[in-house]
Amino acid sequence: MNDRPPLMLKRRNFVVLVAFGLFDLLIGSRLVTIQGLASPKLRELADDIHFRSVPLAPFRGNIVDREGRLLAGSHHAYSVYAIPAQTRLARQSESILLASILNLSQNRVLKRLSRRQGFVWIKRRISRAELETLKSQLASLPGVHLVTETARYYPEGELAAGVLGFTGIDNQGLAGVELVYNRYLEGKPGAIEEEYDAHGQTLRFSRQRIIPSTEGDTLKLTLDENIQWMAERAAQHALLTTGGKAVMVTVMHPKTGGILAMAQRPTYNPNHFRDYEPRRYRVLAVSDAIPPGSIFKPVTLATALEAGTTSPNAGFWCPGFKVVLGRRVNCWRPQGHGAESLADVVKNSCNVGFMDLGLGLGVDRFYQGLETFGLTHRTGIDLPGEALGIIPLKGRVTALDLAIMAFGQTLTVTPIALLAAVNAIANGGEWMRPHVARDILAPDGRVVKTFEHEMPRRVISPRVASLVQEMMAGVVQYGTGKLAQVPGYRVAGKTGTAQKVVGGRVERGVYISSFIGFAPVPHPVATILVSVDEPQGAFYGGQVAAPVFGRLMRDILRYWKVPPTEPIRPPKAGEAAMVPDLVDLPPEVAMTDAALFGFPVQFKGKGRIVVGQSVTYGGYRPAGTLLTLTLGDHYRDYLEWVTVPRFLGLDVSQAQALAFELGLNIRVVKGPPRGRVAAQTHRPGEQVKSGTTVGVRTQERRE
Amino acid sequence: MGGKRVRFQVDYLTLVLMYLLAVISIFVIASATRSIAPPHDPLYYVKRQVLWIIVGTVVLVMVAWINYETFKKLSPYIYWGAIALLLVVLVHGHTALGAQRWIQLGPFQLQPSELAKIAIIITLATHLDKKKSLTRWRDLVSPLVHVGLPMLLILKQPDLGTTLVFVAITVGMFYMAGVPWTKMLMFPAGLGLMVLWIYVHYRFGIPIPIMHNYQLNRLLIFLNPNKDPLGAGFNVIQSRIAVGTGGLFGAGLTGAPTNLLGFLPESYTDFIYAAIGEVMGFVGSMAILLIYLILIARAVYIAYQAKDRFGTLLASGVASLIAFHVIESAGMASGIMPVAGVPLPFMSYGGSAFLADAAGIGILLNVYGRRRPLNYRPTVAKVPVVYSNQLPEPDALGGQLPS
Repeated sequence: MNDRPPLMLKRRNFVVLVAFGLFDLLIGSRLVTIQGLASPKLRELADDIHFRSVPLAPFRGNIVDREGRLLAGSHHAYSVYAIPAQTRLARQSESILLASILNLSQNRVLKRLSRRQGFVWIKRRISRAELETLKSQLASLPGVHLVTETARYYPEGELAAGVLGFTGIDNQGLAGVELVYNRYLEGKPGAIEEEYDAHGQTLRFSRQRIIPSTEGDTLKLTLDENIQWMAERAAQHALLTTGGKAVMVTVMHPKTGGILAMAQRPTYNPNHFRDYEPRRYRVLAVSDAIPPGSIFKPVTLATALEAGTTSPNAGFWCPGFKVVLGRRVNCWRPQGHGAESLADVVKNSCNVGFMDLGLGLGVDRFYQGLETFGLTHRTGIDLPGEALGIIPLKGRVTALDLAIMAFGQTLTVTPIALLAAVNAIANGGEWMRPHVARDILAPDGRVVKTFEHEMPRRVISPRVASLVQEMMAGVVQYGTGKLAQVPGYRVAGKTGTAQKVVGGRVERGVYISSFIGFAPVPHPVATILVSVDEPQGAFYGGQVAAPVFGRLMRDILRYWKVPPTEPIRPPKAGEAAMVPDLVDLPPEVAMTDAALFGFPVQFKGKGRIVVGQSVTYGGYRPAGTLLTLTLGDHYRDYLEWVTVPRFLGLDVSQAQALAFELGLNIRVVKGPPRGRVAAQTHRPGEQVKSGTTVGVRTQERRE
Repeated sequence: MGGKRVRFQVDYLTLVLMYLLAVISIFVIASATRSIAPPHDPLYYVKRQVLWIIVGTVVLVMVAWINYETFKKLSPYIYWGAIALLLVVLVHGHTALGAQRWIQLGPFQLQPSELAKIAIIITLATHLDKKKSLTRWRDLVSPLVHVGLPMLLILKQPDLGTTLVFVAITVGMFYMAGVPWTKMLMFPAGLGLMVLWIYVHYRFGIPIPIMHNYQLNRLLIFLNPNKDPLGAGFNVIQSRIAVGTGGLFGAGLTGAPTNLLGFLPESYTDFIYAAIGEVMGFVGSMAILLIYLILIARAVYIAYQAKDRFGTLLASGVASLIAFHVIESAGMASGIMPVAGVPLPFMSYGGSAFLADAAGIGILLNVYGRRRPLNYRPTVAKVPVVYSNQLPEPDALGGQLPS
């Protein structure tokens, strides 16, 4: 009762209080750091954790040709995604429903829905039918959402496929200019950010933030859609008529170096690029170095003239071969060309004459020439995967090597590099960097960046350039390149028939036939390179590639309405004259054309254009012979009759490749798009026109 | 007893502080449970807590009403009753979160370890009060055994937080009972030994008995929460984020969308101080700490004012109980203490804890109400008013007649 607290208690009370007070201060100081100093950072961290974002794909910029015509555009597409946490309650049933709507395997959908992720794609770019069904069922699919995306499409299909390239599922450029200029085209992605709680549920009072996406810039190419179409047609025609493995047609603008057209066969359709082997994606003119053969000769000639080691008056003697360092090197004409002037050497494409030119130059000056013409470096064209030609090391070059290189063997160059070199001759001696991009345009049409401002580089003097031009014109007028003639214009060119080197040895009977040239001399508007790989039958460049060049050049000159440079003198009646190509021309144009070559015409049938001619192009008839032209309504589809092969048992991609080889189309009528062919609409062995679409029914692959 | 009849005085300050905390807690709980409450009843947790506050008030009044002298007599029953409950929990408890802590009682769950805290305050006070001397080592053996038995049972559940509360109560009561400084040093020494042991455990792989690995991880993770941000460090990091988002004034007690969103587990129970930090900000958090400081100062004052040693010991036990809870709970939420599950008195959601804390306040009121009279206050005796002309029996006046 009387045990009052001792005095000590008072002191101890005080100590306890002070201790607790100090502790409060400790917590307080901690709070100052957390809530005061670190607060903004922690708040951001909290938002990072609480917000989940669904990407909003930007509208990818268009790709247009030099006149603004659409080559690659984007359209809206719907994609389905899921927030796995929100599907917890009915994962099984949702996966069944989703799988049936979207034609997916239920197992896969279930696996995706069960992922421990904030966000999973279920299916990208669903079809319209799938969209409609899904929209009606969306209410019974909690956690499954739709988002608008954009998808790339190429309205012209295979047109300029190599240059354009294609994009992947996330709209990222994977090839061609889509890849090179992806940075400008892609735009900036936005996002829809929504707040979620720890269990992944949308909150009743959730905040939503929308970050809009920015549209990509438009890429304007130097290509001209019409010229590209002409080049595509020329390439397709060459492939079908020559039976070559590959055809490559490239058109360059001499003044600027811009590529006007770049076509190749085989090609692919960028809308379904996955159906082709990746090998097809390559741009042959840029990624493959080939032995140029005689089309290299203008470079040797220009170098020799520029160096002064030869002159237009020089005389040559060709016995059909030349012995260099004890080895006998044949001219293409075994009996030889006899006595020739320099112009004759070029016109005849005489190898002996060019060996003399090369040896006269010597190694140093020859290599200097290669360097100035830009053949020792990459051209820097704005397409991916540019190769570099293989040129023997300067220090180890023998006189024999030099002699052979002078007419375009032993060394390899990329077609684009050689085209640029010859283009320099066409351009009066100034080298222009080849390129496909012209401008970058902002979405509002403003020019953001322009690519056509590079200074020309002088390679040879204008005098030498015009000399070479004249000599190349002689090739077309009197020499190996007669089939490249275009009535009314002075065309310069050079044929080439390169021997292919396979496994380090020159392969017999396997050639690359090519033609390079420009028109009209002396102020060319286009430089064209045509190259056919391993043509069957006729293989000389003058037979195989020159007519392709001639027709394409004629079309381009007409399209641009270039005024004729030459007085047209029809041959006298009875004189042997070459029959021109009149197919695809309107009757009145065909009539004038034929008259220029000295042939009267008569028409058969009715229609807008000429679809057939009684004497084929390139044949010689006495002038005055009456040609019968058949009229029709459809442009030449380069149709041949083909035999339908047996597609049964092949994969769809294999069948597609086979069909393409034959000029047929394949469409999956029924069944999975990647299965095996189980039935076909046309019986194997049936004769159909090339271009016919064969429908196939497929079934799941059985492994 | 034959003592002086003293008018019972209610300590309104303590009551006001306690109910202030309880009322604020209702808003914080409402905010923190918004995303986890059942959708049909967003105020599920709030309603239950209000019920606990009412029941707690009844318990408080009961504990304050009975003269604390009676506790002395009841002490053995309380002690062995508590031991029995703890045993029941171990044998037949409700397992949750890897620990057996609860006994299911109809719709509610009883957490005997919470009630054991009050039991140990009362019985240890009785025990120490009986001791003539506390200055020799052997004087301290029996109190330590007295506390040690229930402590081991709780550690076995396992419930590290409550075990530490027991240690804190023992320290506080020993200190106030007058155990000399030199002897008090055994507690810091024990703490040092534990730290050393943990160090040795990590360095040389010597096992630690009783402790689970997760407890050890939780203890140490506060040193570097980013070591295991999704495991042991998750709560520490989320707590820091929640506190940090509060800023100076917080998101507000009502309505404002909370960032907790269920990312901080236990944000309405043990980690409620983090929720307070978020909704009330720095100012609010410090205000809450201030309220606790005043409350503990008051408890210490009551201990000082108690009319006898037993009263002093009871009040200091309650003061240590509340003080340790605040230090640990607020400390771990702000990241300066290791994580050990301890509720914040009167604020954390939970029935048993609130009942125990309310009983603690009841003890304080009890001791304060029966404190030694102040010198200047006249002793007022109750004089029965005689309405009849009969003299009352002497016994009816408690043996004292008005002079």
